Amino acid sequence: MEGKCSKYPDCPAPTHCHEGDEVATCEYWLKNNSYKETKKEKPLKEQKQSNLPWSGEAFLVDDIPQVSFRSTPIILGIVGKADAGKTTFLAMLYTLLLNGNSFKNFSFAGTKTIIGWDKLHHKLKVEESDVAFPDPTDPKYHRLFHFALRNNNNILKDILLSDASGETFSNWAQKQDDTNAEAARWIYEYSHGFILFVDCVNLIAGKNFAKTKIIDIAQMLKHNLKNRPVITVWSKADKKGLIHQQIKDSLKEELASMFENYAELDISNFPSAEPDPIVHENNLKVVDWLLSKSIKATGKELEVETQNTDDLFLNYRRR
Amino acid sequence: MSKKLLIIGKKNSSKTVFITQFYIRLQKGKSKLSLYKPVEDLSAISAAKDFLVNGEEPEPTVAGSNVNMLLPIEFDGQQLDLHYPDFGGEQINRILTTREVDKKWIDAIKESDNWIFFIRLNSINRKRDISNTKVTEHHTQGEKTDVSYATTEQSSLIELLQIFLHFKESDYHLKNSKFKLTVTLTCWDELNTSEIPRTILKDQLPLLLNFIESNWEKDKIKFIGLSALQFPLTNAENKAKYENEGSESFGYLIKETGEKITDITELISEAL
Repeated sequence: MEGKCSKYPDCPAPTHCHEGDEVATCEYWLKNNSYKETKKEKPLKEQKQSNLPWSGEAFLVDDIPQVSFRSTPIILGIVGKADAGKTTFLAMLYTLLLNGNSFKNFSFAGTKTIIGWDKLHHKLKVEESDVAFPDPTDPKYHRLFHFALRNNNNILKDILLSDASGETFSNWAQKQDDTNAEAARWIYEYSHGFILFVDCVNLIAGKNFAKTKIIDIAQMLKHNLKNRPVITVWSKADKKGLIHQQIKDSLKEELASMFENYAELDISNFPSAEPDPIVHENNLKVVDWLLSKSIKATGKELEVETQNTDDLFLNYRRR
Repeated sequence: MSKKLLIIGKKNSSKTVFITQFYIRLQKGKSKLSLYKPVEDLSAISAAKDFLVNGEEPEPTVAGSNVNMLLPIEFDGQQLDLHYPDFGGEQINRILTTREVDKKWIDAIKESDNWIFFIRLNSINRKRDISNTKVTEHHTQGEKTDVSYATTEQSSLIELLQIFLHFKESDYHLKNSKFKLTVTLTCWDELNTSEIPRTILKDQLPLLLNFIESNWEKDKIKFIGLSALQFPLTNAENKAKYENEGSESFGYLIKETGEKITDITELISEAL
């Protein structure tokens, strides 16, 4: 079978060889893949001289086997419209960790995407200059950021947080099989939990129109959710008070009624007091809550998928 | 018995100064550790040694330098051959930028179960208070913010350990109990602190500390402070002290408890 080791179906190749050999020269690998190896050009990453299996940059979906060979990662899907603060949230998350904050029940055990994280942090830390995270305009943009976390029983969990353009979700909310909604479909299908972004500033200006767009995305998410946890994040919440009361209340109520395994939190990048929980603690709490819902206290994860989760990514890759 | 020691540290983290001072102490025979026979090849430190006896700070090891030094040491009545590969600190920076680790490094990583990680905090930017962070969200699509980028020191030190752990083939599922990491905060005199080394690391590089403590068993990590020179040799007065009293009279260690000791050879017995 192409893309698999010919001897052991569980061999993590191409990430590693079960024999401890170089995958490219392993006879069991070549038996299935010699044609591919000789025919296809080596991917760009391998053309460089790096002899590390990871680049440190944010993952593409194809990079997931770099962690899935050792544990089934928990994927947290970040969902929301353009400019809702999705990428800023990720940047703040890593900045908080760099500055000594931590997740509630997990310690930081590493990341395969540290350069990706660090670039986000770098954009965030440049103070007073007008730093922004323009939403990627390419609806095909889809990256994943990784954390390896260890729980109180020293069990390692790999966590992946998605970063995709708001466009992909807007397209998906209008037409499920839109050609420019592939990233949204992937995130919907494979995530173990969701962070739904509600942009307070957008609600102030866009009123009911903006609210409807959020509900459209939430409706799509609700379908066939299978009790996966959803947390609504009210971003730019320092402005939350300026949203028309009726819009705010009705949106809050409608979202809460749509999901069963549900919570909501406010976040902001502008502290009004020091320390301000909406800036500091809540960014981390969003992830804390989702992890608490995705992983049992024993460290064993809930069976969220009905199919064979071990083959999740291989299945995806073979399509 | 033979042990291979690996001292990991970026450029200017004081590796050469330490190993030279360590050797001079061994030679004088007044320390906890001593030599049981002469060192056959001193080329790794001979230049640095000449600088120190003249009261001058040694120049950093050149990037291409790859000398394996063998120190026949004796402590607690035991004889131990200590292998110390002296690779220029510039090579560490190169590993991080090219993401290529050559065979001699891979061998050194695999063969050593005693890593000493030199970190010079003084050269690291102080952590930022994120309450000062200002973020605005543009709605102007496609506008790129051009900010020059270099990996933060903390992220690069974590990545360095991740790379080393990768080649050590350490099992990520478990906390590592097979080999020892001695985190050594060098140029301690520059820090002007009365805190213990772990507290300083927690304050300055908290995520690195989390990473280390979440990947090593407690009894396999140590946090030590080191001042191999005791003071900078930049003024005439300090230089004269070295010239008159000998470099072996200077330098100190801060043990995990905060205890200050003048016998810097104990860093090695702590790390073994």
